[in-house]
Amino acid sequence: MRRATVVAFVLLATACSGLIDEPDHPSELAGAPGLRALSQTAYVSSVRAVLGDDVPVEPLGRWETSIAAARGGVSPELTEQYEASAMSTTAYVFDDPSRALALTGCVPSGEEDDACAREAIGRLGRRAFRRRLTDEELTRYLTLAHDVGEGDGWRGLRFATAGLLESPHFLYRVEIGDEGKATSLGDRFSDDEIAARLAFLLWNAPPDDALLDRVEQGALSTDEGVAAVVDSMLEDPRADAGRRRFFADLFQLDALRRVQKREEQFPEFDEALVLDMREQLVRTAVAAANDGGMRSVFTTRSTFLNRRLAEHFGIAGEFGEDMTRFELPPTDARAGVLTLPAFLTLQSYPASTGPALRGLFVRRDLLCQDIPPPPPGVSTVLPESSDMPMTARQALSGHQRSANCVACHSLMDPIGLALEHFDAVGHYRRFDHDLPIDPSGDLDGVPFEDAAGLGAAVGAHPRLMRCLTEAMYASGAGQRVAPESARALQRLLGKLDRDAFTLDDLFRAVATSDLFLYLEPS
Amino acid sequence: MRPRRFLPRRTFLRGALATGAGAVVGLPVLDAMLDSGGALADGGRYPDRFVLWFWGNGNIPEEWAPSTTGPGWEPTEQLEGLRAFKDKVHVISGTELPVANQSNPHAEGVVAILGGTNAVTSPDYHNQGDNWDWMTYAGPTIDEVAAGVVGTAPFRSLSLTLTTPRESLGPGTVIEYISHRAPYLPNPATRDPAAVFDRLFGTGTPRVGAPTRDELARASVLDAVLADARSLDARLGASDRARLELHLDSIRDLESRLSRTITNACTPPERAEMALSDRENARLLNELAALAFACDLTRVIAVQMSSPASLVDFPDPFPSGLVSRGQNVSYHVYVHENGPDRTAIRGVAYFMEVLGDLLGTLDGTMEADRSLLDRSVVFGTTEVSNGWDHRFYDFPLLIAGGGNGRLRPGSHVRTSGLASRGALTCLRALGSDAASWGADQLYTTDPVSEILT
Repeated sequence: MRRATVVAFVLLATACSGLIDEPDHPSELAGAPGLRALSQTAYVSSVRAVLGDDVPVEPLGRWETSIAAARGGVSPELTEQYEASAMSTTAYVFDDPSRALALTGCVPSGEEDDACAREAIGRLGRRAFRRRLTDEELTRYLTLAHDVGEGDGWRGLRFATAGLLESPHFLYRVEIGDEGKATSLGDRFSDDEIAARLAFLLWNAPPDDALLDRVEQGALSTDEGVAAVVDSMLEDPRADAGRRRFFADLFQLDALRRVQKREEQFPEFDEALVLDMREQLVRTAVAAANDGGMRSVFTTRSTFLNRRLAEHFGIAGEFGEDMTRFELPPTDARAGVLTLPAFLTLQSYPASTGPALRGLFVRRDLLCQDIPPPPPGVSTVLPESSDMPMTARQALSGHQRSANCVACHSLMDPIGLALEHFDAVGHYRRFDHDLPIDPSGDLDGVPFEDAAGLGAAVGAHPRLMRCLTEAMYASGAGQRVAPESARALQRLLGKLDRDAFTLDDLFRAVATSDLFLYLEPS
Repeated sequence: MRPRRFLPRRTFLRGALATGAGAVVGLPVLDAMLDSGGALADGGRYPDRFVLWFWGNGNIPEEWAPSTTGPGWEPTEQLEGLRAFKDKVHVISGTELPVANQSNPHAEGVVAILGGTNAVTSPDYHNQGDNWDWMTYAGPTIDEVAAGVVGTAPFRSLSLTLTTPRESLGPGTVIEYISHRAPYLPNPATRDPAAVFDRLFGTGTPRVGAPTRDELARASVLDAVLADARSLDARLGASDRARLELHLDSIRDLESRLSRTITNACTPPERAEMALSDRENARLLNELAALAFACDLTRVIAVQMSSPASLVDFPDPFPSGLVSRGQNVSYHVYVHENGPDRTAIRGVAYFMEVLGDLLGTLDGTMEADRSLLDRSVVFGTTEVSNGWDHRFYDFPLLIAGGGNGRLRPGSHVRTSGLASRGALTCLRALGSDAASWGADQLYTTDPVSEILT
């Protein structure tokens, strides 16, 4: 107890005086999870991969990102929901003869030795388990179909398929490696597991029949083979889901739907606008990341607008419901995703901007720098300006005068103050409390004049590439880069063009890395 | 084999609602099998029930405890809502909750009081978002441990919330939900009475008698799924195996619910939709809680008035909402900005009024000669002793109910030592012979024996 207290004190005293890059998080639960629960979107894509893309299915589970799902358990309530979902989705298909026949391609007889049922369970089972069923598994589900079907082949097949969708082999991504494949780099994941890792990383969906066929032909057994498969997967239209997911996770856009703003102040803030904001940021980032490279995501003036967003931006013109590409003039205050309303809205309070929140996000989530919470016992309330109006910069100057605050806030506040021209829902504003706004500042020695300059400084920051790489690895692998894997991470980073790397370059580098393909790369 | 507790006879329960608008429901009665000592004629006992009742963000410690100790305590302003039940409520004051790290007092405090351990931070946390979204328990919370003590019912536990919690963006849910079965495994709390109703009673007419053909088929599917899992088990590491085992337990519970023959069912009340008022909604949930106990559908209920830190809106307690500096704010922000003022005290008083509603519902529901409150142990607590500078002294602990005769009549006990003693006391009141509760600096072998018979 005494020792823990002392350690905590030392950490707090030093955390922001020099940046701590690798915070120590001791845990009894360390180690890569071998079973990873499915995120909400991965559950939906997984059910549809088995039963077809038109099947209505609810996003179950409480995890929106794959890294949050990685160590998650399945509660009694979620068990019930998974079961109910398996029953309703299979009923949707099998209660309709044409849908059922389209899925199976044959009519099951319901007999004990039903060739159609055997073929269908084998094929659906391979999609569900992301590998070929073992003989034992195939027999188990065939027996189940026969027993519960009571002579009705479709009924039996429906319940057997529901079983596939309730099995731990479906509800978890099993990643325990291939015992026979120990190499000098450590244990490699099995080819089936690699296919699933690649598919969830690049498509946010499980492998399809074609990919599973290629796996069985040995396409993933060599590093060259993996590289070729990754290239073709990035060509597939489904790769867009992976690209979109990457930015949605990075900017925590799932949190947008629970953001609340003060109604009297922002009456136009509604669900439709929030969805537009989200879509705009994702589209802008994906387009910039492949057209101009990942660094241009923070500087691009090419964005997407529809009627609502154009109004929000104060831009006149003909806009409809659909979003179209729009080039902001080179003099526009907005440049890069940090000036888009989705980011600005998320990193704000209900009624006011949050310069420290915005700065904290850039430091922690884009540059992978640790900023600890305020020390215990410190009031986080800034003095209220009752009689004299103040800008956020003036209000936050209180941080500079407090020894408890200055070390960390001098890292966060200047970033957020550069974005003060954008209010709590991302409107442009010229004044704060009728006072002029000074957006100039400095990011780790790089001075900037305004928000566009901040974007350029973030985009050019030497820590950005590594941090984005770690974020992509974490969402694909379901764990962060372990300290022991630092050398494997360096090998991965060495493959990237520091200045011009694109989003697909990043996907390719991560997907083909030792870090991603081996359980414990040395 | 589950004990069959439902007898072929029905009576009526009128929920003891303050509004007088209680639902009338048919209930199985057990009094036919009652002997004079309160035990069942077949030698069994009436089930023990446990309620964990939690409010977030602490209280105002200096003005919490009654001025006198022992029975007949006089409620303070904060405790006023419990006045009607003070003979069945123990106020335990003077303990402390030593939290090791305090990088995040709300997260660490709730793990300490409900789990008895220090919080665990995910090894995957790497500066993304708030660190409390990545913190979890090292093991089960007190309500889950209690579920292991009081024996099985069709539902292992119910997890209810009276307010909408702040959703976690990470794998850790210590700030979102109180009840946890294991690390990263919360029992998500439900706010909508209709959803609770559907889970307990199904969406159709509740079945009496043997399972239907489809229910048996669904149970067979689950049997196959359980067999499927066996091939996996041997190749997993210890924490994955533990996680899978809990999932399989849930599958087994569902399988046995589907395949059981129901000899006599509770007649459910009318299915109620979510009420507009929080207080009214809480009353609907209280009714369902009492019913779930009375029908022996579950023996453990975890209720969160608000999630740890109380980052939730309370439209009801203050006629115009909580306003600080011209903005509607959560109780958390209010207390941070204003400290222990009258409104902050009024907030805690409101929480206790809502707890009083639940105690009233349980006390107004009879099971043979005793009320459900008499058969229950209700543990009321929070995660910090105050919400403005996050201290852990004079920690608020409430233990209510009769514990099926194991708890003495209500009193104020002024004591000292660890707040962990509260959880250990509850386990003893449920009939457990647990020797200790908690780990490391939270370890205790010392229940508050003054309140146990």
